[in-house]
Amino acid sequence: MLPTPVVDAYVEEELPGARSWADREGLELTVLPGRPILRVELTGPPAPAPDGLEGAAREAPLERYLLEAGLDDYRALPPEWRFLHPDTEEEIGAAGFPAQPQSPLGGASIFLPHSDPYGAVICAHFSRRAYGNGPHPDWGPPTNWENTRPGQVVARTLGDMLVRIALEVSASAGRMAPLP
Amino acid sequence: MTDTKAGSKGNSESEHDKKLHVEVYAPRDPKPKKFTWEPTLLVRDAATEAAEKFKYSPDGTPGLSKQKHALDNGVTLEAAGVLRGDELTLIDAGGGV
Repeated sequence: MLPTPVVDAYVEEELPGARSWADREGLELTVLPGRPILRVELTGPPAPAPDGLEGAAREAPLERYLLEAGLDDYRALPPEWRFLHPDTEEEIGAAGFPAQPQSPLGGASIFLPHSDPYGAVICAHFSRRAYGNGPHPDWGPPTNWENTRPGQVVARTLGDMLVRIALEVSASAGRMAPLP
Repeated sequence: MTDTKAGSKGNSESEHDKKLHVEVYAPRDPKPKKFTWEPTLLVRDAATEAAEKFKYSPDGTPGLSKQKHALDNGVTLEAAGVLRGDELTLIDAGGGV
């Protein structure tokens, strides 16, 4: 376990860049008082309409996603990224996640349905839940999070991670599952 | 001779006008950096230059985004729709896993 002041120091060092990005995007980046938790609400496109109507013709509201990062032990471990219910702030598994068959940058999406134990995870080296019981026990312990392979997404500060996640949310197509 | 000089100067100014003056933000730095690029420069090369200026490690895959959309690394800035005065964001364009 990293001492809280060490984690706080890392977070404080990285927050100005992340906040600058959030401000430019009109987003509110919040660190929960007294807790190593970062939150931001993102929006993404609605699911494609069955009748083929899109955009203004469909007039469907944007999907709201509440993204949270658990930062205990950061940077010894990567953040524990998760999507919560945008209203109740409860963890709801795949329903909290954007659906996205393919990344806007090519290749696989970082939003991955995964049965055990969370329902879905952000599948990237900068995501704690991708390790262990997640989809990549082959990556070893999450302390390996900065050891990426060539061509894989690299994000080593909170701002870099947020930008990549938000970019993929912007290119999503509704939720993985309906909100409960 | 005078006409020629005037013509050269005019061409030079015209060429200068074609350059793209943009601001690039990196998510780890609250302050942007200014770049002047040829419209024919590949997005990938522009992003690599920006990543070096922001002191990103060289093992990533630098890319650029504009208004929440990732630009295609394989095309020129001009073809990607980058305009003079644009604000761009440095991203990592590496693949998902």
